[in-house]
Amino acid sequence: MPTITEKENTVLSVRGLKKSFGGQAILDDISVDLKQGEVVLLRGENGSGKTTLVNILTGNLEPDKGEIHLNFNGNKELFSWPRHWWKALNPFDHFTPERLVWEGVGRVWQDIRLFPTMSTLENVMVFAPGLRGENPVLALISNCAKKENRQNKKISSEWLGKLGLGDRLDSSCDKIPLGQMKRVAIARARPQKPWILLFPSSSFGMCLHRKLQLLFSIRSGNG
Amino acid sequence: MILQLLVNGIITGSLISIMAIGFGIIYSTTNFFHIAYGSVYVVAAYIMHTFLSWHFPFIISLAMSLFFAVVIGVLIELLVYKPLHKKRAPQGIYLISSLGVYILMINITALIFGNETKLLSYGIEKSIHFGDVILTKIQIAQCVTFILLSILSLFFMHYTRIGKTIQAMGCNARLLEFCGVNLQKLRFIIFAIGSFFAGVASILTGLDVGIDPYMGMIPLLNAVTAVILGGIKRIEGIIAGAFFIGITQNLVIGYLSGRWESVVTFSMLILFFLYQSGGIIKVKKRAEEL
Ligand SMILES: Nc1ncnc2c1ncn2[C@@H]1O[C@H](COP(=O)(O)OP(=O)(O)O)[C@@H](O)[C@H]1O
Ligand SMILES: [Mg+2]
Repeated sequence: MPTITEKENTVLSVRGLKKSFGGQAILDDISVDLKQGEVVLLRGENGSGKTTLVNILTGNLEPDKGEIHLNFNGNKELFSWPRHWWKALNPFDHFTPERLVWEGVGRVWQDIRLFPTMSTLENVMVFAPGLRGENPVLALISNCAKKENRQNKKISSEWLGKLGLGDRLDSSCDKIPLGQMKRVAIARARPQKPWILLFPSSSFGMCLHRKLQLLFSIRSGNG
Repeated sequence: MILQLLVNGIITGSLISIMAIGFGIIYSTTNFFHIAYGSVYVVAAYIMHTFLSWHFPFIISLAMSLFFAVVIGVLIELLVYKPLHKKRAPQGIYLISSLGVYILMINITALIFGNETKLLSYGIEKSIHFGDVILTKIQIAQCVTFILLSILSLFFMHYTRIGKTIQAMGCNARLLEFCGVNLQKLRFIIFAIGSFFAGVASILTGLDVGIDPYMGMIPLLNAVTAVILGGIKRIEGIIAGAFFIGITQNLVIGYLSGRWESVVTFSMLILFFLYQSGGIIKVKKRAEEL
């Protein structure tokens, strides 16, 4: 187990994480440190709890015990369990996927998971968090919201173009080949501007080299 | 005569469309039949009636009625569906709870206002003749409102951020959380928009034929049928479904009898359920990845 040394460029550190399902401990006293620009491979047997760990890091599951520190560009967050009762009262301090996306944790799924009846471009665009156009009134009247939307569209289509899907922007995501679906899934991480991207290497058929290249370019995308 | 029937069908279709767009936006995202939508429809009309009886101007009564329709719709979500959602209740529970809310609200309305039909506008509507076709002013208002609202909602769904988000929620609500969207807030917005449409449909109908506490069920079922026939994914489909029902109903009224109106609608619904392929069965997701 690594020692607790607070380094400047550590973006994520996890301490003493515990999670059990129905009394059986799946994760026991897990500690992880991720530094900026680092690519880390999480390996393990089938059923060893990799997905469970990822589910926790994306806010999908709450651990039974432990701490998660996030430090994105000086913006520090600490989540710790077991949670004190007064924290449950604060409506703005919940550990949810939506919150972690805002903080900067991105995820690509093993089973790809696109919005099936929407186009590739729409799939990428929807993944940009926190646009003003999410307010229905602003969406209709505010010029800022419209400008943001256009900007988002531009970035998303550029990014799809880089991944070789430039002529597929309007194709419905349930009608394109699997390889292209995977590329859409990767492209979606771009508008999210994640500090950490959790990426399932096993199910993505592209060669590892290219994937790592992509990962780095996503990172460099947010400085 | 056929021309008049078609025009009547278009007007009926407009009203069903307004109701069905609101119902569809809720159904397509939450995946359960919001039956209490019918009671929002009824209560909106009675609020309009109350404000008019207090001698408020028409436009203020209209605004208050729509405002309270939205508030009631959001309250139903907040007090009934949200707790169920938190418990991850199965679809059947939503349906029964929604039916319960519907019955409760209808009975309270009947208790306060009585069972008899009330009017929202007095005096006989001046009718306008276009050749053989006769239209009343309120019918024209119904059509115009429908056109405005459908353009607005098509624009909203296709060209705005929130429209795309709502569409995405219909595909996969859990995945939408990973787009940084607060699902609870989005559900409020969806119930607010839907209830607004119910309020509009209710007042447009009430101004024409008057209101009573039981006026909600038939428009609700028409809306359900339109949404099922037209498909929930697109507003264009819902409108097409609504017009199909509206025109068929009026042809039946013209050539057979008014008594067959509902029979025809629901036979269409049942036939569609029996012979449609796919749609009802959802793709299974892997449980472990949530
Ligand atoms: N939601 C859950 N409820 C109960 N048990 C679960 C749940 N999710 C995962 N598990 C169990 O946790 C163990 C680890 O699973 P998982 O994290 O998917 O492993 P991996 O991804 O490394 O193959 C498995 O034994 C699995 O059955
Ligand atoms: Mg796994």
